[in-house]
Amino acid sequence: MTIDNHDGIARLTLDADAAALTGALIALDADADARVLLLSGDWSAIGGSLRESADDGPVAALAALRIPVVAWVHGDCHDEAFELALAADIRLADESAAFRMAHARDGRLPSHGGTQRLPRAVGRGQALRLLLTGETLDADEALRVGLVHDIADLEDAEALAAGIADAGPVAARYVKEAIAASTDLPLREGMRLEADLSILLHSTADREEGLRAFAEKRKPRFEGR
Amino acid sequence: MSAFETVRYEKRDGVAVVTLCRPEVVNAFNVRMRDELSEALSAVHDDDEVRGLLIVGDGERGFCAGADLTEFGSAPSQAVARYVRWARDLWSALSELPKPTMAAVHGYCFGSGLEIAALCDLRIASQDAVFALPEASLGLIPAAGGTQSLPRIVGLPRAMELALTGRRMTSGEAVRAGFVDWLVPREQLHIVAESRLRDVASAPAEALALAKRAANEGSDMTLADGLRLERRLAARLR
Repeated sequence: MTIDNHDGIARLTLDADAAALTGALIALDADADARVLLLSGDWSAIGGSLRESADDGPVAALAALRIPVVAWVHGDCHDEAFELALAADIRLADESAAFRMAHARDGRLPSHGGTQRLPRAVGRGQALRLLLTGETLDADEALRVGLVHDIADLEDAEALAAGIADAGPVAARYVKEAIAASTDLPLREGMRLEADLSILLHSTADREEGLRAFAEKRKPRFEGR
Repeated sequence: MSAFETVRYEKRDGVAVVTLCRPEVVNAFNVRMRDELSEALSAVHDDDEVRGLLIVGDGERGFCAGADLTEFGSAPSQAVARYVRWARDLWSALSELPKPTMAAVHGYCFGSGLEIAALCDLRIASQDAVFALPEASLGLIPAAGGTQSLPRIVGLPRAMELALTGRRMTSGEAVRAGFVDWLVPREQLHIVAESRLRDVASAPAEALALAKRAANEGSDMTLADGLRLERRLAARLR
């Protein structure tokens, strides 16, 4: 499993090798040049592989990434693959995408975070419907319930990732950390985290560069420090 | 009671209208505005004649273009910045104000402008309103509660996308995303906003305050704790 990383966009193309995914993601988290991860490829194949491994390492490693993650879903995204997609920050899908979480129909239970991340993504009502009926959502329904952010081709997903890669890299990580924490923290505690992260940014060269570039009406050159 | 420079405070028929008032810089939020808005919120809080708060922006160009970056160069040390942030917790004071609050947004609503609107209970906007969180593209993050308030209103993915890319959200998208409650023509914005807020605020004040508190505090609790809070607060009205 290879990660192609240039222009700050790390591109990971999923295949049938879940075991290699964990290592690739852990290595990526240590890569200071990566500003955003774009996840695409064969969702059906990675789902099958994840199901066989019974190890939640790959999904946990994806959820633990400090850089923002954009998932572009093409084709069947069922069960474990669906759980993997839920660990991304922003999901896009093309018209071929089909989402289904039918573990319970097979007498199993999601074990890669599906029962926890699905309600947080689409609300409890929709989550229960999907978990209990095993119904398949097409791309339009996925958009309607808020599971995906937009119907898009891979080019659009690249453009979204490029927009994220243009942001200050440390700021982008902190934005992700603060917004992700908003589901688990009371408002006051969340604001405390946000304020601390904001003030911590005062120590970065990127903040100075961003303000200087704004004053000089030019594009900033961020270095990630 | 307006000895203020950067905000205008008016009381009309039970509603306080606070106008962000630096139109020459699209009402950019600066230290002085922070202090004056804080005083205005205290006045709204303490004045029993005031039953609701409406925040609007002065001038043609917009509600608020964000923080005044010209003041960022003079930032104090990190330790001082952290102390100052909590010495007067303006953003909690706004979100916890025990009266209905509404932002009426036209034109640019960027950065702290968007965050102020997000901390209000209700948002009304004109078609020309455009929203963005440009902080990360400047190497900053939103710091007026935006990373916490926005996902609570529009969900995690859209909040992530807006805050990470800094892209502009139109008034139409803001309505579809549930960020803006009502769209009205520009020339009627402030009139409709004021009358709608006055309607809202005509309900019994204590019931409004408790409903707001139950919904806000309850959504940060387990369901069982939230139900207990609701029962306890409801008993006060019997």
